[in-house]
Amino acid sequence: MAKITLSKLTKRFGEYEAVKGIDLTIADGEFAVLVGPSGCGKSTTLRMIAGLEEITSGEITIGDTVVNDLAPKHRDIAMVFQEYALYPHMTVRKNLAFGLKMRGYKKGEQAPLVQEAANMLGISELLERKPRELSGGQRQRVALGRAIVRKPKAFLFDEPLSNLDAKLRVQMRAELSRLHRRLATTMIYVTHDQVEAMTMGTKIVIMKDGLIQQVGSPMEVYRRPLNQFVAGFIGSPAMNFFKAMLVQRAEGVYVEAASFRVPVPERLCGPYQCVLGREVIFGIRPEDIHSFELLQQQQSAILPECRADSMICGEVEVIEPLGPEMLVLVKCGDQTTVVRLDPRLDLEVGQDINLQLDMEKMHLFDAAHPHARIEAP
Amino acid sequence: MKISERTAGYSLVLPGVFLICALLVYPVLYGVYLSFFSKHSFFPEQKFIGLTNYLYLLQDSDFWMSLWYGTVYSVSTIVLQVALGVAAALILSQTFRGRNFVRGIVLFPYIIPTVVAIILWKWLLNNQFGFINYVLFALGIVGEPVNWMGKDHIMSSLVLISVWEFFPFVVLSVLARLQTIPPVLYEAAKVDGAGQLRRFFHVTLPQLRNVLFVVILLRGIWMFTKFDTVWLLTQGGGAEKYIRTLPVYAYMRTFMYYQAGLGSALAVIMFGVLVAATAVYFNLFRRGDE
Repeated sequence: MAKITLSKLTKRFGEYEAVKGIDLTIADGEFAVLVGPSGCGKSTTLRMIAGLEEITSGEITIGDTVVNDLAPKHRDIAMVFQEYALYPHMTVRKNLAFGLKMRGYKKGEQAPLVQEAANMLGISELLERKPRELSGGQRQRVALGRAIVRKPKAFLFDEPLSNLDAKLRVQMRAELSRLHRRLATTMIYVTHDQVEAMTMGTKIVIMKDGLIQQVGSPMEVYRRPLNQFVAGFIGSPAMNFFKAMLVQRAEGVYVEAASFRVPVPERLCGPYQCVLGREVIFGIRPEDIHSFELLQQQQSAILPECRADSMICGEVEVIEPLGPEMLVLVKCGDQTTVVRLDPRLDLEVGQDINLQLDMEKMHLFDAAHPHARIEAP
Repeated sequence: MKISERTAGYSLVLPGVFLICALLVYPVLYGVYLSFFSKHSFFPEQKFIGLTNYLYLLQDSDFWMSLWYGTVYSVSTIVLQVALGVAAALILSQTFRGRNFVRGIVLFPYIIPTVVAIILWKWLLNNQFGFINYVLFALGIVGEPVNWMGKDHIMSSLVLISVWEFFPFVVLSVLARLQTIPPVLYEAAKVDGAGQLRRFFHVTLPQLRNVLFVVILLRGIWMFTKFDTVWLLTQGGGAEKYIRTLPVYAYMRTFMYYQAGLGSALAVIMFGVLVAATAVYFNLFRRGDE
């Protein structure tokens, strides 16, 4: 059990700077997820924490110890790899016991610990098998078992579910969360999958180009993304963005884009005063766009203020039914907007559709670099 | 005309079968057949004498000596080749400047013709003007020149030359395998707490097991039947008797004493020894696997 602190952590590979002086604190017992696209530096960061990659500058602290110059074996961490990394010539039992053996545990001490880990993960009946005789899911469990058997200060996961099929991934996600609650050990989890990040992390760290973009709880980063990158990365399907201008008219403040003009709720007009007349990026999530007709029919409580002037029109381009919902790609002007709609809605490709934007949930970002969020309370 | 698939298949296989029979089955069977005869190597006369050749060899001290020398030669060269080959492969699998160049250099001994290698080594090991004696003398390791081609040292010289000549084969095979070991296994072992030595014994060596099995088997067969290197080194010097391995002895019986029957019997015995050793080796490996 340990707090992990990174300060001014930098990693350079020759000329290329993979991690650019990041600061991060992961509290004891936290489940932190480092998420970002390929090449964002998340895996490199994790490998530096593990001691598998030398750090160029900065400091890593695990518990109260600065571990910069400590070999992996002296850091008391365990790591689960994407490719499982099970020793192919050893049985599951020997794989689990290997770390204990290397740390000088006697045979008699190893057995109960191995059994306990195997029981916890439901792999007791696989103990005498070799890795090649196991399915992908079973291998992943063994890899997990190898990590938990030592009771380390912290667990590091490097995209451990990427090689599993979709169904198994969902199952293992839940299992990992359960394991975290049970062990209450610090865990750092690296993934490029924002769904994994959202569902498992108690803290999400979004990275891009070697820099941390935002740190926060899953709902925090979802509701209040600090820049356009985070807004686009977290949430599936991704947020819709439009180049727009904030314009003051007699009736109020409006967001004016190439193909539509919608009013900004009065509550938000004040905070957005500073960007009036300036080019901004207007963002709205697919779930915050509704079918105008359906809302009118249902006299829905979702949007009390169903105003015709906050409606945009477009043409249905693609319909992706997902069962409980459907994703509809709507062409508005020269831009395609993704909308998450009720599957009962009778739609056909090519038909016109009127969409109502829930402007209470709008996001505005600076059109200039670095696309930072324009704050609204 | 339509040819049935069956006929087509047979006709395609036939040339291969013919070649195997002509070049492999027939000579081997003829060799076994000859070993029951008293036959001059060049004249056509031959006389069936049953097992006389074999019985003669059982009492022939030269035969037992050559079996012993052959065994000493193959076992010691294999052990040294594998040790040196694995060590070199481990070094060559690391990343360092000029690695490709060094990799090329290491293969050099395996590429140059045996004749050239032997001439080269005979010069180096010459007791009067050889470079090796010069160096040993200059360093004060020896007080007087060592007669490397003499009775006491010729086997060591032969082993040294053979190891030098053939260890690149081990390097090549092991290096190829080393490159396929996933680096993540080493990382897992590092996190698990294994130091460099333990990573070698618990990760590298088990992964090399299969390739070493094949390498030792092949090198074993090749060293036990090695003729050219041994033969070339026995030319002149007077100590050739002390490295007369089975293949050399069989050659001498056949082409210097013209005893083709006896030579064949020697070849058959060599074959038998190899089959038996291979069977034992396979068995040991399989037992180790369990």
